[in-house]
Amino acid sequence: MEYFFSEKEKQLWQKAHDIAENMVCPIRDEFDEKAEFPLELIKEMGKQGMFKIFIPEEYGGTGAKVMDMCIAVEEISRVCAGIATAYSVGALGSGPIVYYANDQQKKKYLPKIATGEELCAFALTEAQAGSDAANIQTTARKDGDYFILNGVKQFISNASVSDVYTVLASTDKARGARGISTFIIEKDFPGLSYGKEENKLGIRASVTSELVFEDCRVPKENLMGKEGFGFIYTMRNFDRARPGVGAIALGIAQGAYEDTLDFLYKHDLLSNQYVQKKIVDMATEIEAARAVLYATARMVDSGTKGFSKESSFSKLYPSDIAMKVCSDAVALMGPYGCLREYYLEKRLRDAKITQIYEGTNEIQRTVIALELTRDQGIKVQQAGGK
Amino acid sequence: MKLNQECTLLQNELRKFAQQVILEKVDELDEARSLPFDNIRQLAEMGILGATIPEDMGGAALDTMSSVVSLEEISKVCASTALIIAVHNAFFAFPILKFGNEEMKKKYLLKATLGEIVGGFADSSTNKVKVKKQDNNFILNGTNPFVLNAQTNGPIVAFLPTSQKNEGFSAFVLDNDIPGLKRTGNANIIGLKSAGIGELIFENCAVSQNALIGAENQGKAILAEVQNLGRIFVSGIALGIAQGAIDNAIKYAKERVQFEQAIINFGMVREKIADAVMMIEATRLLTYDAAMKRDANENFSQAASMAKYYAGQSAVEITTQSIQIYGGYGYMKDYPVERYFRDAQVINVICSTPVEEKENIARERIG
Repeated sequence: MEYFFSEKEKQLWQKAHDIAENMVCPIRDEFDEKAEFPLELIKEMGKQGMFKIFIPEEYGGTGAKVMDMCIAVEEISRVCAGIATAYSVGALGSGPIVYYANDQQKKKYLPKIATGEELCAFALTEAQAGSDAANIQTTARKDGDYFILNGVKQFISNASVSDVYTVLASTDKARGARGISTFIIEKDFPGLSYGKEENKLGIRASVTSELVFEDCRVPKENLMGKEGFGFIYTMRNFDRARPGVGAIALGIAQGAYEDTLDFLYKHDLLSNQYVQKKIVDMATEIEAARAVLYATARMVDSGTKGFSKESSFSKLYPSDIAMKVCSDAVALMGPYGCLREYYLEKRLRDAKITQIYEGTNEIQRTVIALELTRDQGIKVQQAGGK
Repeated sequence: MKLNQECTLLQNELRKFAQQVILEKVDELDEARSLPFDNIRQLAEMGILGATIPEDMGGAALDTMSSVVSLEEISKVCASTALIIAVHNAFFAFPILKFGNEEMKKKYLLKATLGEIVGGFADSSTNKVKVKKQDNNFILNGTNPFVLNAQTNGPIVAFLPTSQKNEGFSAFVLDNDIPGLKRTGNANIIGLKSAGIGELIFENCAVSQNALIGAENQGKAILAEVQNLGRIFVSGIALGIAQGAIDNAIKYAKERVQFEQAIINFGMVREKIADAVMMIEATRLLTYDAAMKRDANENFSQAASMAKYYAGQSAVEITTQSIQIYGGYGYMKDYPVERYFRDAQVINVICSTPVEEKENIARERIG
């Protein structure tokens, strides 16, 4: 389908395409198998300007457009969703700085993130705060010119390879979600270390580990925005970041579809109508997923306020479609679909995370339900009353 | 559905064995892609490896129902162990018993019952392996990529294209030590990593005419029967995978607290459980129905395909949703559901793909 990319967008797509085919494809199996972060590749992507698309022009980037993120991430993910995750974590981590940090903080951190010289990550989740994100136990206590952080962040993508983190911690536990603040934390701050590294089903090229704070001293100028606003910033940042997950999911589905079509052609199976029906459904659903994703991205980039619902659509639908397409593709390819050398099994393993991370699809549905009922002027008590 | 007393006793025995013995090493074996030889040895002692073999040949002569119930119980904990047993019984012992000559039966079946050999299955009927006839031998060349029980190192029942003019293929039993037959390491496969699925490589491998099961070029009918029984057994395994996954997820959901309550209280979690329970019950009815039809000597071909299609697709869906109930934890290898998810993918395409099952079902109905 024609989505009328601008010249700039076409160029970005071409660059992402070349990187995906020439640099990601040759190493994707190895890094999945070894569960290793492709640092050299990510740095090279930085040199080629791929992180600039997450950053505004005045801080060394090219505009922080959600559409640009979708184009780049989808194309990388079409080849490897693990590496696409490793890459796109940069957008999730830098987002809060882009939108909620002060000018001084932006000047200090964003230019280096734009060039890829420094990698950044985002740390919210804890053992007892998954879907219930406001339930974080990590604390930040004021001590003169510093905040002292204590706690353990869990399942943090790129934790062990990043230089800068946006981290949520409670500055006032009594106030619950309204007592949470955001901090910019550098890897060398004393009291910060990496804990357990996770052994995951998929996206294995994206390393996931704990981020441990033990009396970690953070200068007070590294508080982002206003104290107590961290949770709100985070939810708004998620609204902008979720299309990125949609793009990862879409890339997986597109790649699986292309490989399956190729396989069926080579095995002379495409004349079978059972097969045709499956393939047609895949193509239709992928296009529908792309349409909702791009429409959301354009809407966000237009500067409109309030797009939680659409942002959730753009994550929910492509991720469900990615799982469906990959599962159907295995059913079509048969045993070959289960073998590593045909790559589909990896796409399937990778696809599963897109229904989970950055808010499970159940949380997306909850967000959408809230918005839908609000649109109709109906007040509904949500889970946990929060 | 009420099982008879014999079946219930077997079910209880295997449930206990799965929980007390198989569970302990299941993740370790999966991670290392090692075969569960200890499980197999103990299951042989319990008679499970002679399930399809008559008593006068030393077997346990279980009916199809009892076999299915056994596989379901084993597979709730370890689908790889269940698949090894199912392949040995349905794809290896059964065709020898039903179509093999007396000499073959003597040579293999008692050993199969005792677990001294664990037999495998290779379907090369679609010309993946080239066969040339030379005197009284068949000379095989080529690779068969998806051989069940390839790594159990027993003899293998193989369906090979023996006719140059595509007139048909033949069933053979290949001894594990014949020259020119090589087994590769475990296939690098998404799931059932402990089931020893692998490749057979034939390099000028000479197979004697005496190794033929049934007549030359008459393999099609044998394969169809093997697959029909196989479908019921594989459905039993899929059923166990689905049940095992959702049991784990329910247990987790009762313990996991978010928003100040156990997540089992949330409607979206409960809906997944309701869907899984319905799909599992429907799978169980279809699978048991196919088994009972076979035990009653009725035509069970359509029933077997319906069971297999539904069981496989349900196992994929239920294991996917079981991970979802666990959330991020479900994606980590520290928790068991991701293994069930991986195993379900393979089970869904063993015997035949869902597309092929649908065609079987339609063909049976249309005639």
